[in-house]
Amino acid sequence: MNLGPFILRRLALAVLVLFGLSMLIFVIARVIPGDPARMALGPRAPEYAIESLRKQMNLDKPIYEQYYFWLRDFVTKGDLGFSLLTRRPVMEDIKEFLPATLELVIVSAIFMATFGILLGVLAARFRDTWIDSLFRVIAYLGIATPSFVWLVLFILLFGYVWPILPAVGRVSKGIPLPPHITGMVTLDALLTGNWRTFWDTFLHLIMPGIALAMGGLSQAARITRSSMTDHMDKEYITLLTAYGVPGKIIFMKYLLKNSLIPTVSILALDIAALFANAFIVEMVVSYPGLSNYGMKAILNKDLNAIVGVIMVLGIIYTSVTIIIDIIVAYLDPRIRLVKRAS
Amino acid sequence: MKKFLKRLFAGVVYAVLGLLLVSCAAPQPSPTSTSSPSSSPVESTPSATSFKPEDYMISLEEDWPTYSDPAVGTDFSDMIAVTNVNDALVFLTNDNTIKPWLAEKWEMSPDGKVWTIYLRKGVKFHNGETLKASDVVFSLKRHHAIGEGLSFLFINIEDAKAIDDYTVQFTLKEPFGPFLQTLVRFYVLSEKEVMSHIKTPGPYGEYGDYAKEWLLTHDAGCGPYKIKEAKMEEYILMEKFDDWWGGWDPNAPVYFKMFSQPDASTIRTLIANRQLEITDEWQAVETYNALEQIPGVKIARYTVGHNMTLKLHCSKPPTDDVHFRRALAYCLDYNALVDSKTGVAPGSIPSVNPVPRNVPGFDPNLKQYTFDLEKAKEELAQSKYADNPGAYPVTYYFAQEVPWTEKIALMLQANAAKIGIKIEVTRMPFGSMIAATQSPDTTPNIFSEINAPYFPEAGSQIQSGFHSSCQGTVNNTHWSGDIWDKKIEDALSTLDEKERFAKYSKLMQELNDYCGTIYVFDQVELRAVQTGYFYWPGVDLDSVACCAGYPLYAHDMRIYPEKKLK
Repeated sequence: MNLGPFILRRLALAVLVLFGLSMLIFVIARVIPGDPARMALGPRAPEYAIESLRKQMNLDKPIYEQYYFWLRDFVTKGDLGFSLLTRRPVMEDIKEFLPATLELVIVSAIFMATFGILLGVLAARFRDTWIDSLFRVIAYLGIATPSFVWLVLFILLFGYVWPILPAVGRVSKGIPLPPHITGMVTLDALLTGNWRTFWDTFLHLIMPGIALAMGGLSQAARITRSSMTDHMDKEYITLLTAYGVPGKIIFMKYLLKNSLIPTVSILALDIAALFANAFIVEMVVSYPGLSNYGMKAILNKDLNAIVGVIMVLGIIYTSVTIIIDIIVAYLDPRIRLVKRAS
Repeated sequence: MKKFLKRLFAGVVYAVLGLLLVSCAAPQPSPTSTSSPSSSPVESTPSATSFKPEDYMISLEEDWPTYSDPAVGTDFSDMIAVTNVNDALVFLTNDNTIKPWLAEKWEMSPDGKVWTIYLRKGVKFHNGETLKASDVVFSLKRHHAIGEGLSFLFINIEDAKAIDDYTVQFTLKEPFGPFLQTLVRFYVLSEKEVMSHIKTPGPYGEYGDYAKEWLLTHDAGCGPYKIKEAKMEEYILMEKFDDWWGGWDPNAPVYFKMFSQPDASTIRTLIANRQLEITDEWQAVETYNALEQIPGVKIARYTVGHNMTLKLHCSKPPTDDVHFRRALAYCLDYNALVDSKTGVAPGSIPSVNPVPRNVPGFDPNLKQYTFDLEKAKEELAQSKYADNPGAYPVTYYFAQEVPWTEKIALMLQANAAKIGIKIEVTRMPFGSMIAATQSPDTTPNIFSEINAPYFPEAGSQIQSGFHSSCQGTVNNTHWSGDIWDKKIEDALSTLDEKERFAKYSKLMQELNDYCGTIYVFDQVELRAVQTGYFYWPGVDLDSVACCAGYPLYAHDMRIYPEKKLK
């Protein structure tokens, strides 16, 4: 199996996509009316202070020169410029906020994959029964209801009516933060054996994590169910049953594995999309993640931060897409053969 | 197959049990309290329970980001942090009088250009250094170099000299009547602390970045609280400074935490669980009404020095016509907006001045516009757009972060439509609104803004609202050039307070007649406050200090953890 050329082609395409994205977002962020330097320095800042900031951010140069300097610094130094909102390099902000979002997305992805597949399998197994109908309703609700609505509901239920989970932030009052290793406080607490902090930070992730997962979870459940029911009707399953292969082996080895290919593709894309969906969820609970930072950057016209956040999300999304393509191509040789032929 | 399904079911059951376990392990603060709301300081009861310092923590959620560097911050939340962490030369009390603070006394030369300030002795900075006159001179130099935030208040100071360790002399370029009032914003930083954290190279030559980066998450002040921990975009945790010169009450908060404003449902949960003591002031009335239903929670209502204004573009059709502007002013039902049951700002008071009632210099005898559609028609008939006012749509921007201001826009739109004026209302992020004000072409006809004084006197709002130097900022979107400059400068340079206030009165009536701004109401600010175990002086007052930050002085708050347990 030779996946090399396939991977190389996908990587080349990804670089092109990211280059296009960077140009597009750079221009869009800068053509919005208003002088970011004046906005950042307050209503009565003197002209010399504004000029100095403009110079520092290259805002006094034509837009193509601004882009050239930005791209040069990004590629050669990993420098995404200076944030007007936090008054420090955007890269430092990303290093601080990305791990928070990452751990939220990881927890959310675990919920999404586990319960999405589980519900789908159960719905398929009990096809056309009341269980199937119940799960269908749950799935439709999950898809149709935005994640922030779920979160508000969860907060009211589990933070207010039955207060068992913390409603805001990343860590409770009086709980010491673990030493910085990865920036993901739950993981850092685990790595340093700080169980109390681990448990507390994990509790903080449950409500936003599940709320964020609801859409993807429901979608995964529906796709798993429909894929499994399709396969159940295939001749090879009938043949295996006729040969007397035990039902458990048919289910696990043949039915489930084959049926999961579309689910895995969709799940992976949904997991990448969680980064974008986290925008409002993080704002609802004041969760200090990258999405919350990105939202504030957009509202405050923080040019470099907007471009930085979108680029990071673009890189994550592109990387996940490549990984999925590789996994799917590995699982299903027809895909790479078709692509090669084309 | 059956076995497998059984296992799946078992998995689900275990997951549910896991959640139940979580619920048992998690702390369960009571959502309801039997404590009755109190309008006076909560009485402390002796208790055998010993409390940890974190039990004396109070939390406040606010708009974000928050900058605690006095040469950078300018917004409401910035000022709360700045005022708690840094001491100013003089202090602003809740009755809006000036109180000696780091400056024990002062003298003004007869021409009003030289001010001699005598500093309090024995004041310690958070790093242990003693406050000296050189720190005051250094703080001014830093303001002048950085030029951000409220630094513009001190541009008029030409020179500062340390006469000795405890005497500073300021020389002004021009006499400025309310100079002492501006010193409520003159926060003093430790020169040694700042200089030991500068980052070089930086934009300020030998001073590098003037420690601006370090001061994002630390402080160099001598205020009652010091920054213990600051997480950008998340919170600032301040800790009581034991060596503060003013002394401490045993029930003063040990920690004061400001964090980023979450969603209304989250705020409600935090308040119910007693994890939040004071809310922000930007919530919708419905949210405050819901919060008031929670036992032990009271809604504080007080005038703070803000007024709700609609600023009119005076050089863009059709609001370039004074009669058209007056017609708009007569279209607003001011009393309905402040109605205690149906209003958007219950308890607020229709404005009669360009400044609210609690700002020194306010004159209750000025004439202001009232809701009168007949008068609106008369004014419109006199305008040059009388023939076809609908052909000149009026653009109106309001901030999406303050959703209740939309109702003012819709009311004006509906009433103006009755006399043929068409208003196009646009909701947008405040950041984009700021951007729009920077040029006359992008500034809308009507710009909705809550206005606050930078220093405690009417001259502040008059100057920022109409002086040409402030044109193109959110405070002044009139684009009316320098027509008011001479009168404003004359009033501000008058040293005698009585004479100065008389000039303000005359000027304010002229501004009312010019109708560059529709002054909607003196805003009564609302905040939901815990009263069962916590006391904040603002909860009992009708009016508080008119400069942002001062009303939320944590040193004067009290917390009683033993009451919180009940």
